Amino acid sequence: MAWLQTRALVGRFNKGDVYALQEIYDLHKKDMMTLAASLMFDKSVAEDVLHEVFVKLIGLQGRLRIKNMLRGYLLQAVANEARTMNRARARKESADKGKFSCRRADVDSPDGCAERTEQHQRLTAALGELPYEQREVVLLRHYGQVKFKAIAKAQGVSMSTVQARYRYGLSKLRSLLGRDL
Amino acid sequence: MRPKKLDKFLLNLETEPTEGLNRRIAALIGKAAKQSSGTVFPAVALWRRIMLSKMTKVAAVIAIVVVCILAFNLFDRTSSVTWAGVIEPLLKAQTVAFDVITSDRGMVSRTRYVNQEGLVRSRQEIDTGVGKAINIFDFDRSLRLTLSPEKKVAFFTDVQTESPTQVHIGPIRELVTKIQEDPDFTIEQLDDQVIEGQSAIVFKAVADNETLTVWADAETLIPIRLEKVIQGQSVVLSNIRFDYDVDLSLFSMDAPDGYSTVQGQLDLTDLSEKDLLEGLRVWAQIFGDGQFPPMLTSMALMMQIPAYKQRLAEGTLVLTEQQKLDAGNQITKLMTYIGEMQPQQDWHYVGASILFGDTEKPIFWYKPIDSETYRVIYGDLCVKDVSAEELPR
Repeated sequence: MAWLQTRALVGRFNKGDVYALQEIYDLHKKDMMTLAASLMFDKSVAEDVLHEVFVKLIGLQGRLRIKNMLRGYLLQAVANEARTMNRARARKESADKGKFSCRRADVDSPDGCAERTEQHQRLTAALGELPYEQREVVLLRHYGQVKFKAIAKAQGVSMSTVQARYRYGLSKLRSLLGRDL
Repeated sequence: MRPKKLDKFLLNLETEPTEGLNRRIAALIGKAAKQSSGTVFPAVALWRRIMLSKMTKVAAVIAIVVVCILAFNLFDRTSSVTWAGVIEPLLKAQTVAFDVITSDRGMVSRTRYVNQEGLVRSRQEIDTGVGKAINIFDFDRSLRLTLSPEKKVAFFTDVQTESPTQVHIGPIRELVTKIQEDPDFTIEQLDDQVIEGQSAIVFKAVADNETLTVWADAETLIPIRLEKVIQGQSVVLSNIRFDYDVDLSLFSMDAPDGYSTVQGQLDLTDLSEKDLLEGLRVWAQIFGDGQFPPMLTSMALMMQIPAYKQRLAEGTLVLTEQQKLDAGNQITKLMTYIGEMQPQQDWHYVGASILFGDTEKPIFWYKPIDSETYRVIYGDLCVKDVSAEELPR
């Protein structure tokens, strides 16, 4: 009955209980942070993404409508915010020519190395090789369980484009990770 | 490509937010709360209030345990955990205040119940159409204050009872417990309904011959209406609010300025048939102008109040304030006595419109516990023992 719990939580929030957001955050912070970090490759930027998502959620009080699962909605919101932030950064870092630059220094920081497995590092590096849009589609589809139709709507492209990005993304990952995948 | 393997890979990416982010989000939400209308949803405010009190923390833990047990029982019966969620505020209502409106035949009484800041009290306002009466009950001291704003009289009654006096929510809580303890109880989710302008999900719990229907806000799952039906008699509680800002002065046990006071006692222990007979006499002679009432319900009594007041005003009925208080107390004893009767006592009231003193017509019969015969009470309040075959038809 997760959908009923979601409905109750969102209902409470819409009826004036902003503290329902705290419960939403506690329930989904790890998933949201994981997606944001995987998209942005910068933990501090990822945290800015989450902060912005919650600023916008507060603005939706009284009119937040969740059609399906709250987790999917939140992960989509993270992806949207990350995309916006990424575009802004891409414009600033013109040298990247629209392609997101993976901040290896952050990904492979000493702290991160100590905590992460080799497999993790390889996957992170491989994801970093994907164009941003492909990475977003792969992560949303696999990690967020978000439907292609919803991703297409969020990215403002056709469903066939999203499916193509997904195929290319998986193909690239397979070529990078080889037998591991 | 094997997507399942990718899913496993992705699980390795899990990243915890830092404490810094947790603090930033908490500050963001706290700031938003201050800027909002100040409304904090009842369940959360309730939770905070519960957790602020050492005493009520224990109650909260008990309530949670009860809900968990209930949820397990309900799963066993192919129902859902949602029922447990819906009744949770009812079970936690020890530390909340709420309004209850009951209505029957156009008569409305508004009841407020409060259990906070050391006060456990109820306030019931009854408007009979020709006057208003206010009952305030102090559960700790078992003391009742009845105010008559019209006459500016405050009646204080020290109530002695064998079981704790309760307002409507108490019996509802007991019913929830009783229903869920019944091995054959069932929970059914009915179709959603619009009730009091709100979209509601509806649950109906049935055990033995008792039914409890709960309408809960479709979004918040907080109960907005309850109906209990016991032995065919229905009580509806509506306009329910949990944890609203209540004015505690409404529950003051002091007589308002300018009121005269009358002290009395009401002993509801060791009630017997004698109290039943005396209650019937008072009802017929004082409130019914020589006739027995159509039903033995509080609402039937309320319907007779206008005529009773008229007789007092005209002087055809003369009573001191003390006698009025005693008469009301006698009716309370009667209602308590029949209210405590067991179903197997099979009581029947057939006194509608029968004149007090009628030696021929029976008005009431019941079967005492462990008795083979029935006690039949006639219009002159004589009592006869008869077999079941000899009962009036």
